[in-house]
Amino acid sequence: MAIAALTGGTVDYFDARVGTPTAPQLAAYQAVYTYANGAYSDLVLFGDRLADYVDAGGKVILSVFCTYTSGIISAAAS
Amino acid sequence: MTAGYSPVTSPGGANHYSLSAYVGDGTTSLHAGVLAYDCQFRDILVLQGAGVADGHYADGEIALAYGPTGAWCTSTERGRGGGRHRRLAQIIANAASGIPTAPAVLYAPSWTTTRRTGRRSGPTPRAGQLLDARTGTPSAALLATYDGVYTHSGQVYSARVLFGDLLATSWTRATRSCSAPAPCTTISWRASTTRSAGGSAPRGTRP
Repeated sequence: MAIAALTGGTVDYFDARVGTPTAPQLAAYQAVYTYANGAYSDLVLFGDRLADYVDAGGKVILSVFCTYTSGIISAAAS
Repeated sequence: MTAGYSPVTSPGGANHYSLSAYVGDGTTSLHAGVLAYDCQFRDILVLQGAGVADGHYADGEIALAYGPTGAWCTSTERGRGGGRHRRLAQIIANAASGIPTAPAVLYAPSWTTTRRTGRRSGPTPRAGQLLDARTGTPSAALLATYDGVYTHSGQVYSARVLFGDLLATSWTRATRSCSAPAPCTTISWRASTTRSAGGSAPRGTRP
């Protein structure tokens, strides 16, 4: 909500623990913000889709634990 | 995470798990409107590819970095209040708005251009961004190469009327902070035909 207030745009929430946004879903947004605090539903698929999204001109903002591999969480975007 | 998709990587894949404060050295639009924050959960990062760091924590860790395609943000709110949530939201909003840019600012006070060691009141001017307005006046052509100018008076300007006129007519935006003896105010204005009006420093006017 705070981001929407600052940008004047729309901000929607997607729980990446229980699903992976599709390419058409991602394409509807100008940017994607993600961070890991639990296992992604499908980290490889999500990473690949984010990479495709970036290739198509989208912006991805990666936050804390997205490079974390020391524990059970791994969110590598190939 | 390859360099094409992230400006940073974590060789050990670890996290600090320790609180550290942002030291205020960010220079791009990623930190627009964000002056201070701290964070406990911070990945241990190194730059990769075309990645550029924009801000660090007190322990040297990268606070933010960006690349040609996106921005990395390591700061995260911890739910303890203190405005963290809003500052993180501002950073995300800034990152989502476009590729970070660093405005070119000319620092032109009528005072020493040597910054005091350890001062953290603002970005440290780089070579080519300093002009001692006690000994010279920037030309309109020079001013046109910058996005903004910062000036304050400490001693007599070389040519205060000329400087004021150039600021008033050549600039689309400028900021003035005056320490003495004129009123200590910070103002900004857009293109204006207002001329300097005496005193010890260039005069501007609000929009």
